[in-house]
Amino acid sequence: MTLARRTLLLSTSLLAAPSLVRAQAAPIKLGTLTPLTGAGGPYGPVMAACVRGVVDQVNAAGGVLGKQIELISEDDQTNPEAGVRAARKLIDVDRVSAIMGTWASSVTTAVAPLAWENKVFLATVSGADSITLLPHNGWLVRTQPNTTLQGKKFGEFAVAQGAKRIFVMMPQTPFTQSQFAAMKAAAEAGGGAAELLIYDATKPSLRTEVDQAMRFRPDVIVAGGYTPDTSVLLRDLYRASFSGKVLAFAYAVNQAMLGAIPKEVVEGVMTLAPSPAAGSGGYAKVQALAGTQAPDPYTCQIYDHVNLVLMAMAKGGATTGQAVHDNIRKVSQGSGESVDTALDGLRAIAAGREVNYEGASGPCDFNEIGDVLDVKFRYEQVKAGALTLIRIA
Amino acid sequence: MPDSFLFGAILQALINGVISGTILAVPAIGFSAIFAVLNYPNFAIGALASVGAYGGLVANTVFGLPLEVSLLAAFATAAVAGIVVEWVAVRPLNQAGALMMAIASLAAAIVLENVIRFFWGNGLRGYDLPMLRDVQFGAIRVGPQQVKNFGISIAAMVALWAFLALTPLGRAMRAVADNADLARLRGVDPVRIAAVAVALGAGLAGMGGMLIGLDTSIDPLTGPRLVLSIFAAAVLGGLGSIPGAVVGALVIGMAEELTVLLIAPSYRSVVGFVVILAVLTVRPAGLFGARA
Amino acid sequence: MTALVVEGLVGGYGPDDQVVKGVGLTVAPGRLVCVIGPNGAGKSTVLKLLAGLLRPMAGSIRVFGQAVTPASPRAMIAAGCVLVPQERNVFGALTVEENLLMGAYTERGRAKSRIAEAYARFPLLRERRRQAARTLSGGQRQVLAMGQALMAAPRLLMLDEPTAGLSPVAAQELFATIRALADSGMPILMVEQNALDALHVSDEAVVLVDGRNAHGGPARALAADPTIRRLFLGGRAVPDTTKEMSA
Repeated sequence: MTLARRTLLLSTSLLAAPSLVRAQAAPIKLGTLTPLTGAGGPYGPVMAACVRGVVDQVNAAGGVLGKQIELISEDDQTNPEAGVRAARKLIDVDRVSAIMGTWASSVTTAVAPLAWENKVFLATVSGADSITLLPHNGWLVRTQPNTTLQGKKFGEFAVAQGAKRIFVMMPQTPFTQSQFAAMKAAAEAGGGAAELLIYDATKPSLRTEVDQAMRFRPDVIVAGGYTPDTSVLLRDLYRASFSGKVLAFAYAVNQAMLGAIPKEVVEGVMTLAPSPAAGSGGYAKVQALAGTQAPDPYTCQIYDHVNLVLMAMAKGGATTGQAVHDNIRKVSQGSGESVDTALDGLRAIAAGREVNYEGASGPCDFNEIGDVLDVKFRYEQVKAGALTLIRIA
Repeated sequence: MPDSFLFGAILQALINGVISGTILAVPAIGFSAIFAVLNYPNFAIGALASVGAYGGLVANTVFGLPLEVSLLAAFATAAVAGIVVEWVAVRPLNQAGALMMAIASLAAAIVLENVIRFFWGNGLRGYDLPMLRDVQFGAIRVGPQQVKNFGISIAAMVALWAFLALTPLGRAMRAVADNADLARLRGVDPVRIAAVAVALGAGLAGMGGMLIGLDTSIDPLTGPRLVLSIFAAAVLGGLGSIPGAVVGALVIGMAEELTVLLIAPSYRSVVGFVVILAVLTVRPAGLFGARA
Repeated sequence: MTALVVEGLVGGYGPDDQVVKGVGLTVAPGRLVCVIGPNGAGKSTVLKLLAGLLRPMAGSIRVFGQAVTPASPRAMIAAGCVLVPQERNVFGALTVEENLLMGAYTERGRAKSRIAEAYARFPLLRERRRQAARTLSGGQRQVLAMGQALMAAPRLLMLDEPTAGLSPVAAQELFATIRALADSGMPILMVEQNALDALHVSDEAVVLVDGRNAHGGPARALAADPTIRRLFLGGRAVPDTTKEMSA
């Protein structure tokens, strides 16, 4: 089924390729692998376009190590099988040095082994804990806080709302169990109880699941799915006249959802998301590139990916995945000159100075297994049909 | 769980299942009708359901038409798309066998899905409908929209029954499904009947897509997500049998809800596969099927 | 005027698969003409050509003096030539009445009056009219198949092995029905495997061998002709009976 789509995209990228190839031989090849379709579909196109913007700027400024950058953008369809096929194409056909932007944890989990086996660096926005626990030997980093941390924040937030009985409804994902465990621990630490129900995200109605939830008599329901299934769930919670609070991920209860479902259904829903570094220099650059005052966290993160990858290549003096692998932490953290764009960073590196990248999504400092160290969270609530900031902490 | 509690939960799940099964029956009938007359499984049925859902969306939100009229628009849009798929993608392969035609329909489904994406993007869209709270009857909870969709599905099935049983064209369609050679000998034009069957099947799928969307919201994958359930319902009832598709859809609808309650919600999509496997093992002709 | 005159009919399933290589036939009103011959002689193919299911490569067909081109089943129904095929000749899932209505598919306006005629002719069909055709016995199905064909008000009725698969008793009953139909004025062209009985009930017969006319004439005379008896009847009667018994 997806074969034809793949062929179509392949031929499209083949058609596009000649215009990208500049005078220099052997350009630097970079790939984005973002969801252009599926649950991540609202984010992937913006993410790919942001990377394109950075690459164009760097190419215009002379490229990296005297070479132009050729960007190949592929669609993972928010689907591991399609993701693996697209990654194979990026690795085997395009021979990219790095792949950036894998969004769904299931896709990242499937693609990561291909990357490290072929010495291709992988930068991801996926949150599942299991990802950085893979034996990747330094071949991946992520800018998204892991889901245990997110689950803990969720649990703490629920308790702070006065919740004693928390019912968590999530589809099956690589992070469902670990995230729930963290929520439950936070809830129990606050004297509450939590129960998990895993539902099928493809179901057009979740009435029976909501009945299950209501029998638990929860005062907070955590809707832990993606946009399509969460909108089904919120409707069914409304129909069932659930009177407690609803917490959800900001990537699910987003502008797209607010425009698509009746206001009263989402009214009062609280959301939580790792917060981009609003007000930082990098964030301002993403605002300009994405053409919006409120770029989503993933676009901020992939902006950081491409900047880090290009600077690591410059730092290592080579354009291979190995160079990125060996040098990324030398540009992402430390006591060097603070930069928020590859343009500045590349100039500094060329001048022999150390750099410390401070990105649009946050400080972008990584531990030894590739988890990002410090991220703020943003809490919002739907009021009168619009997402309203409660706090960033 | 105490017994009475479980009993109430099961009753509620069964009611939910009957309602979702009845709505599922609409596209399942469409799938079976196409199979009965053209002898291949049209897997574009899911994408056609999405096409109908968006056709109804345009009628409802752009032209401001009421729900019932929008459902007819959903039917018409999907019927036209179904005929285009049939003529452009499937018919040229009708000498190559049912498998090739099924594959062509899959390919067409991808095209349709992406045509929708091209115009409306990936995001969710909702119909212009008031959001109503459920009504509680003792332990049982029923939604007004749910009941309305149930009624519309029943009405669509009655209309279909009347068409098939009482009109010469409907009778001719059943005759072709039963014995195409004899129908041709009696002067029935097979090409015309094929077009009617495709339009009818695709139209019902489109209506089903919109009915499902009414209860939730729609995106390009609204229909494709249903393909497994539709196929399982048709296989269970006996491929090509219209009463079979209705019964199959009811069984699938109830089984999916009971799975949520008695096993685990995430095993819901297993129901379709298990049913297909069981039917093919035990009774390949399905419950109502004449052909093996 | 003669109901059907066929001359030099040639046709088959493709240029390399000619089954009918030159056949002539004449059917007069009220006459029952049977076509017999060994397996593969092209008997059923002649009927398919005359019903518009296959396109002839050569030959002429005249129905009541009018030249007819068998372009499609529809064209042949319009010309008045209606075929009852050998197998699967009713719509099993449809009711008896719906089967009859399908017989008048090309002339739906006349269906009502003709259905009354059909019920008058075959009272059995009226009794069973709400029943699915698949629930009928073999003999009843053949009656329904003929009733369905008559709904088109044919000027020539063609029957392809009507007694195939019937018990001897049911076959005799059916032959009687066919005979009565012919006696009422309907010209009938019948292909039969069961040659001896067919000759017995028919007025005239045509014997086909390898796609060509081999013999022809009054049925009674042919039945008595020792050559015919030896060639087609003696050897075939025994296996045919076993087939009927087992069916």
